[in-house]
This record gives sequence, structure tokens and C-alpha cells, in this order.
Amino acid sequence: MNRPFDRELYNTLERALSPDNNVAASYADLALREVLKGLFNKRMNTTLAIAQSPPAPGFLGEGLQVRGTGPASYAIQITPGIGFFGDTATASAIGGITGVDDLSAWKPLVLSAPEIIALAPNATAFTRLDLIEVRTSRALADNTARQVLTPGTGIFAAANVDKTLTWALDGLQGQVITPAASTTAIGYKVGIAAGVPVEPPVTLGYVPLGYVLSSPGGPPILLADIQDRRTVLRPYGQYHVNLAVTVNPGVTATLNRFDGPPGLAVPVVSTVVAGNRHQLTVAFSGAGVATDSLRVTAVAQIESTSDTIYPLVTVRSITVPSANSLTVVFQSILPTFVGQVMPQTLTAHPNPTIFRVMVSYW
Amino acid sequence: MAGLFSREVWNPRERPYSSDNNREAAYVELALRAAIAAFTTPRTSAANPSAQTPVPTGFIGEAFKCYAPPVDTPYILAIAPGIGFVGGAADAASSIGGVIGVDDTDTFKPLVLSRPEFIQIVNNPTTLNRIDLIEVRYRRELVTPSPMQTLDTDTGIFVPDAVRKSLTWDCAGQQGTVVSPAPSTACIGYKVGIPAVSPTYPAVTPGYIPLAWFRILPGQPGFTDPQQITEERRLLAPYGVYTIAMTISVDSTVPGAPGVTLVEFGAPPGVEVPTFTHAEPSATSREVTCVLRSLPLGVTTNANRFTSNVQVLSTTTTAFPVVVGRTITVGAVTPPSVDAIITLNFQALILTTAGLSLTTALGVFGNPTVYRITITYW
Repeated sequence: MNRPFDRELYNTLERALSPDNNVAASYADLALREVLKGLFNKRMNTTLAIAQSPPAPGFLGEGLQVRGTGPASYAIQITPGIGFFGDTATASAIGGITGVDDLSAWKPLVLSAPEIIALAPNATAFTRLDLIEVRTSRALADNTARQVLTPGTGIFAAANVDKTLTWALDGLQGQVITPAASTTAIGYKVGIAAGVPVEPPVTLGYVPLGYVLSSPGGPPILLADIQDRRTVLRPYGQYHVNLAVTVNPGVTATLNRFDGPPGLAVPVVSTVVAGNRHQLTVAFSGAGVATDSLRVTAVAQIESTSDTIYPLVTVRSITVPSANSLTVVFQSILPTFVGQVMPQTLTAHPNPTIFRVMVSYW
Repeated sequence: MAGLFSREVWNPRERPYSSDNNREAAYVELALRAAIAAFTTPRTSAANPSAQTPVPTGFIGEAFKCYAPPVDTPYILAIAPGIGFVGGAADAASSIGGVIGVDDTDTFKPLVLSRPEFIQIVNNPTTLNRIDLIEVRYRRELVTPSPMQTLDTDTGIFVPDAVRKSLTWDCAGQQGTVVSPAPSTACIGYKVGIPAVSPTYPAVTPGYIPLAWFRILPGQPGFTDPQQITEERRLLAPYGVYTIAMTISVDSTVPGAPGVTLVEFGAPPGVEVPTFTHAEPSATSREVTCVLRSLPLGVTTNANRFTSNVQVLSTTTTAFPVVVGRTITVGAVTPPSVDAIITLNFQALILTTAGLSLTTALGVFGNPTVYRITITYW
């Protein structure tokens, strides 16, 4: 039955069976997931044009992002939303119920309400890296008193049956200490405190949401303590982020506009002046940030301040200083026409100067 | 049929009909199809901001892409599974097969292939070239005959009956071969062309969508070159815009194509890897040429709908590489190939801040030099 857009038919005067309803829902679910999988899936690699199989996991916008819970809280929360996990394993007649099928390789990861996780105390003198990871949960739920036909007597008798197939992860959290494997759908894996703490490994079949840095004494968790390790889903694996930065050369760089998918952390910008050259640094970290500097394109522009000035901004470097972080450095000069030569001058930069930046991940 | 995102309602204690269930499924599918169409349809034109009507046909990623066969099966053409849509189909249908509520009122029809399809290529024993065509139409058919019980309205008793339980759009296994100019009849039509010194393209059968043309050379053991296959699909992308990005490494000491290495390539599934070459026509400039074949653009190719950006990272704090587009052209290789190619040509120099003047110095390029190329098709 692995055919998206199929429909179950209820023929005129036909006595419908419970599998008819179940198959109808399975068909609709399959079509929706297969379309989303096709639109979000990436190609296999540089040389193979086929799509990835199984598709890589990812999250829509801020779905299942790990965040702090407040200035006085030693806990984190996972934002509600939707993600998907690639798994080619299929299932039919789930729970023995005919027609309740899961035939798509694109499995939903669903959280309907913020999930709060209290962090394990850190009584040592060292820092610790903890892991938040999730796996899919496909379960029958909402056990309800209904009437079910007894074939031998032809009588409907009272019985309790599960009425919902759910993918919700809400409340399904558990804690283990590395290197133990997580078992619950939302796994909180406590790391080992050390002078240079090591990231707990991701449990097989799980997808990492983020790492949390726990300092000695368990102070409140700040934004900088969380490393978002999700991949943000984007059409065919590509997206752009745009920003505008007001630069006072060598003094301040202020981000005054930023647009990117929800869940993407705000980049940090800085400036230096080196001789007759401006340098602007834009540092990204967190969800969806490219992990391969060769899969990033960056452009920046400065508006010309006169008809004899031609701002020239080029990329000095694109680096990945650590996991899920990306730093792009631009450098600029302002050539001006004087006779036949093009002297360049830093003073021609207006102060402040506005840089418009677009960074593309692919 | 009500509007998009309508739902069928079962009222308390209401005796439902079979048509209620059928309409519910039709509503869900109608909403999904309309949302996909709205998300992927480009504007009408430069001057007209309205979405194109009819909604254009397109395919998600690699769906229905025709691939060159594996080396051990030279006479087999593979078609990738996936989902596409035929736009502008006028045949709105209600009560399909006489089943009330089984409706298909939208003009955006699913093209579904649930598994890879393999097509046996007809040999070409002549001494002439031939161009063949793979084309597809949507399938909308009642299938899955099953023993069920239906109500005998005279007796009020349910009696055994055989009914079809599924409406399917799946084209898997629905292939057929005809010789041009005969029209295809199967969902997946393989139309064999007529060998000739200058072979003509078999005409697309009315109601069909061309997937690919491919040339068969005389005495050729099937496909020896992927470029024998020319993509005719159109990729579905948000509002019709998508990006092809790549990182290449150019070694100026190795002339021509061998001097260029593709390091990374980011593009939607189904987009073929481009080819490159480079040259240094003057002491201060370098040219890189990128050739894209078989882009999923549909049957219309327009060089004015490409934008490209190329960059080279500064090698020092005083070097400012300038890379500009030179030309973007669309061309077609002469028969027997039927492939349209898009060629992007870039030229580069590096400005350096020597004293207070800018000078050009090709030698400031590192060797090899890394280029990052972004091409946007819209």
C-alpha cells in the first residue's frame, strides 16, 4: 500500500469495516509525509544526484529546540514543534489493528507542549556536557471504553480500546549517565564532569537536540551554555540568512536587522580596522549552522557614498571553529576614481557604515 | 464540493453514508494538493504578479528522473520513484467509477511512482541515429478488487460482492512501448523514434508530459554516455526558485578541464553534476566555465532567468579578489544529441593594495584557488 495519494473507497451500499477507516487515514498520512520528505530531502552527495535514503533528520523552524527556562533556573526546556527522523523500517497493522500502517520513511517527531527537564546537580569542581536526544515514539493511546462486536454472539460488548495512534513525545523523558544508552523517547544523558568535558555520544537510533554545559555548583543555564545540534529543515536542504550590520570602524558593530528561519540563533558581529581596511566578523552558532565551510557562500555589500566611490567587500575567510558554529570574515576597501588610478581610502567609509550580508547554506 | 480545508461532518446519531467517508478523503487530498500548488507556482511573468495559470507541471526532487542504466544492464533505462504533479488538467471528475464522493475536482493531478521503473530500450540495428522519448500521464484508476459485503436494498441483507477498494495514482508497472508517430497509451510511454541521418524528436502524445529524450546511436550497446539522456522535467521548488551551489578548486598549472576539481556540490536531488574548464586569456585574468546539462527546467530554457555569484576568498589582508560573470548562455548540441546546455563563464582578477594604489596581479591567486559558485534559477 506504499502509494502516496491513493484513497480508500467506500462503495455504495458497501458494509464498511474498521480497516477501511484506518487505511483511509494511513493513505492521507503517507501522502503528506512523502510530499514533505521530497521537498526537504537533500541529494545524496556531491556526485550522486539521487535523494538521501533514509532522509537525514531535521526540524521545522524552532521545533524541539533546547532552551533555558529562566535566569534562576537550573533546567532546560524543549520547545514544542515538529521534526522528522529518517527510518526506512515500515509497520503494518500496528497493535494488531488492520489498516493502521506506517509506510513512510519520514517519521514524525512531535512535541505538543514545552518539555521541562531538570538538570542533574553538578557538585564537582569541573564542568560537564550533557546531551538531550530524541527518538520517534509511535504508540497507541487514549484507551477508551467502547463497544466491540463479539463475532460468536453478534452482540456488541463493552471493551476498552486504544483510540489514537500518536507520535507525541510529551512527557516521555528519562535520564541516564553516559555511556549508558537512552531508552526513553526524550533522552537526557548526563555527561562526565572533567577539566575538558567530553560530549556524551548520541544513542543509536536517536537524533541529538543539543548539548548543555553544566558548570560547577549548577548555576542557571544561559543561552551560551546550550549548543543547538538540530538541523533545520529547508527546501532541498538550502537556505539563506540575511543581516544588516552598522559598523563604527574598529569600534563597534551592531546587528540592526536579521532574518533567518525560526530557531536560528542571532549571530555575533564584531569589527576591527587594519591599516586601510575594514574587517567585519559574523559568527553563527546553533541550529542549522553549516558544519562544512565549503558548503557556505557569503556576500556583503556597502552602499556607495558618492559617484566616485566603489566599495569593494570580499570574504577573507569562512571557518568552522567548532561544532555547529560558523565564522565569516569580510574585508573592505573603498576605491575612488582620481584620474586614471583608483586609490583606496578608509576615510571614505561613512561612519557608521552599514554592511548588508547574505550567507547561504547548502 | 466545498472550499479548501473543508471537512465532512458526522453529526451525533446521524446515520453516515459511504459517500461521507469518500468526501472526507477527497477534502483532505484537495487541501494538500492546493497547498503544494500555491507553494510551488511561480508568478505569471515579469509584469504580472499573479500566480501562473494553469499551474505548471513539476516534479519533487528526483521524482520521475530518467537515469542512465548501470553498466551491467546497458539496455535498461531507470526512472526514479517519487511524486510529481500535472498542472492544468481539465478533467474534473465526480463519483469516479460511480462511487459517490470519490471526487477529483482539482486541476493539479498527482503523478506517483512508488518504486523504480525499468524500461527495456529497443535496439537500433540500423546504421542511423535515433531519438526516443519517455513520457508520462497521470493515472487515476480504481483498483484493488476485494470481497466485501454490500446491501441488497430489496431484502435489507448484506450479500457478498466484489468491489474495488482503492483509487490509485501510482504509475508503477504501467508502461508501454510504441513506435513514433503512434501515440502512447500506457501511463509511462516509451516512444521509439525513427532512425535517420538527422533524426527528429518523436512528438509528445497529447495529455502526456515529456520526461526525457535520449539518443540511440547505430550499433551502440545501449547507453555509453549519460549525456545521451536529456532531462525535460521541471523541478518543483518554492515559488519556482531554487539554488545550485558548488565549491571548485582550480589549479592554474593544469590547463582545461583536468585543472578543475568539484569539491562540494549542493543542489536539489535530481540535478546533474556540472562540468568545468578554465583558461587564462590574459596575464591578469582567469576564466572559469561551468556547463550545466539536463537541468530540470522543463521544456523552456531561458538564460535571462539565471543569476550567478562567484567568489574567491582573499588570500591576504591586502588582496581583494574580483570575480564577475562574463556570460550566461543557453545552447543546444547539434543532433544526434538533443541536450540543451547552460554555460556560465566567469572571469577573475585580484586587486591588491600596493601602497595607495590598486594593482591587478593574477599571481596573487593561491594555487589551487577555491571558487564558491551560487546559481539561482528563477
